Amino acid sequence: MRSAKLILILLISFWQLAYTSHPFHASITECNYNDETKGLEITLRLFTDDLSQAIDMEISEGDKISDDLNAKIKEYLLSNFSLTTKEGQALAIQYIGLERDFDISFAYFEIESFPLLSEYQISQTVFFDQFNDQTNILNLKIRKNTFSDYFTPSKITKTYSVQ
Amino acid sequence: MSTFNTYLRLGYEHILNISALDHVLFIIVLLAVYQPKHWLKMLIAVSLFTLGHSLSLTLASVGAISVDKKLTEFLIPLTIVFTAALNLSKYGPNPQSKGKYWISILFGIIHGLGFSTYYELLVLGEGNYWEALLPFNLGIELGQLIIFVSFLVLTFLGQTIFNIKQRDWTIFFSGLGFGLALLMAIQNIPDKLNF
Repeated sequence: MRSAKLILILLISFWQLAYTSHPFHASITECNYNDETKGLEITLRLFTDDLSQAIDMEISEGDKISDDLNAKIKEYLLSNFSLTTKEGQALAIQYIGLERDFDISFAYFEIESFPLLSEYQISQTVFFDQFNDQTNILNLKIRKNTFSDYFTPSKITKTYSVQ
Repeated sequence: MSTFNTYLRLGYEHILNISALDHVLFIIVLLAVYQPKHWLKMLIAVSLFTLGHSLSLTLASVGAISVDKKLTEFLIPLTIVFTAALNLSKYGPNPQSKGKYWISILFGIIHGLGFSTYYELLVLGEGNYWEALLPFNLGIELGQLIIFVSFLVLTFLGQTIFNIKQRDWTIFFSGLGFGLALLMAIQNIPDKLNF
């Protein structure tokens, strides 16, 4: 009987937990410098439902995305992802488009004529406002330099030294 | 950090994350019938669970199976409810019973389906098996190993140091798992089954 009471107490305290239980939240950002085009190609791999919630709009299947939807996506993602120089100057990021593959959406960006510098600062805060357990993985590849990082609501910017 | 370490971390954090309570809970309920001297049996049970979900992950990643996400999220807590109820039945609490091993594999397969969405995130597009999937899997195993060792230590403390009877021990953890998992299952009833 004693254990029954204990279980009851634990259950009540975990009630909230059980109700908020949801698999973890994650996204992956790939940044690759293209030696031929001299641009930095950026792909954000996101869970479609998370993105849909962030912009408060349904995301249509495939690559037929309305202008209105594209504008919203662009605005949201670009205000949560930035790449700046050592001096703090933000590099202009072009939004290419979004492609939805069921549960996963790919958002494509590019920084044209990407300047090869010795240091960059990246800030990645996608979905941090929504989920406190959001994890954003970032893989950066600039010529021979590769970096792989973990962005969480407690670590939103990171500096990279490139050779 | 290397790409390998990043995905390894993603894997074990996924298991140890408080919001991914279902996997931790299943392992606890699975191991709740054992005494510290049964550590090898406990290890076998956890390994078989791992084998089960590696199997479904592999099948899901090659596209051989695809399962409804909502249905999986409903089935996973049900596996815990079932295992916990079995612990309280006549045959369940026997540590010598091989039935636990079958449950481990079978329910491991169902739990593995729950990971398949993350697999998509990792492998679709430019994703690469060796770069992302392998370390993510190893991270999951690492997380489970941490849970196994922690629960083994807890079992030792509870049963050997604090002299809690094995029967009470089983009832306590099975009850806890049963209640929590039942709440999760109710919360995750798919719309199709909702009356």
